Amino acid sequence: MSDWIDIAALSDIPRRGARVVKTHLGCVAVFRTGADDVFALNNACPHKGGPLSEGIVHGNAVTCPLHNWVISLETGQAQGADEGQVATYPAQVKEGRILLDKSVLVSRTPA
Amino acid sequence: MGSWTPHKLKLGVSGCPRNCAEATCKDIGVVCVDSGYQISIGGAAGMDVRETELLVQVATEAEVIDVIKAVTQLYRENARYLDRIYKWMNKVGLDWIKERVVDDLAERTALVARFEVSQDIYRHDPWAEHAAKQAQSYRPVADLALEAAE
Repeated sequence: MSDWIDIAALSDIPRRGARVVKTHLGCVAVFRTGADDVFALNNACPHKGGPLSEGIVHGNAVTCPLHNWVISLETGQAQGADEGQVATYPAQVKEGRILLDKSVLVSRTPA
Repeated sequence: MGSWTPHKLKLGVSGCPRNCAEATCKDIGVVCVDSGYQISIGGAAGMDVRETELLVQVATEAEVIDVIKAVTQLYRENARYLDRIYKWMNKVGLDWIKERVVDDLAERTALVARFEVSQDIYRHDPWAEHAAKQAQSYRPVADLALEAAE
């Protein structure tokens, strides 16, 4: 069962930027795209653990600041020739507020 | 940093009298000794090789900083373009510099104040302003780790 909680205002995240949410599972990066869509992914690149929240957002993808891996924000899949997967979390925007699913972020045991 | 001077201005600071930083052949040199700090000026180690001449010995670090600022400002205000401190010193004399920087404390304070004016533009740190206003936007937007796991 999903349990949506209010994280922040959409305006707290700059367009084509990201902010971090601390969880028991590690940091989750919440991205805002140029089209004001919001995605939540683990803040670690599958390659060498680079901080994706500090990467450049383009379209619905982010480029890792360490080695330029391109990660799809929708699926968490590494794009192009690279292979890897970032965990993604449900996120939505309602009335200008960003909601994340607490049941996924808080209670899930680390894999 | 950033202030214009008639010629390049090299400084050396040695932490002890062994003088490993070779402060005695710089434009301004400081050698730390048991009883304080020896400030000497007018050295060179290029086309001309010159040893610095003792300007003053002071007891505290704050005085060192003030004296160096004052000497630098006096040099900035009075030396001809392309005169290193040792060339300028040959023209005006070390005593003339001492009178203004060492003996006349009011003059020293005024020189320091004028040097600070030349510095305040270069000490402007745009990131400090940005951080004062926007530091929050770089912190985690929420901390769910504080929530008890169910």
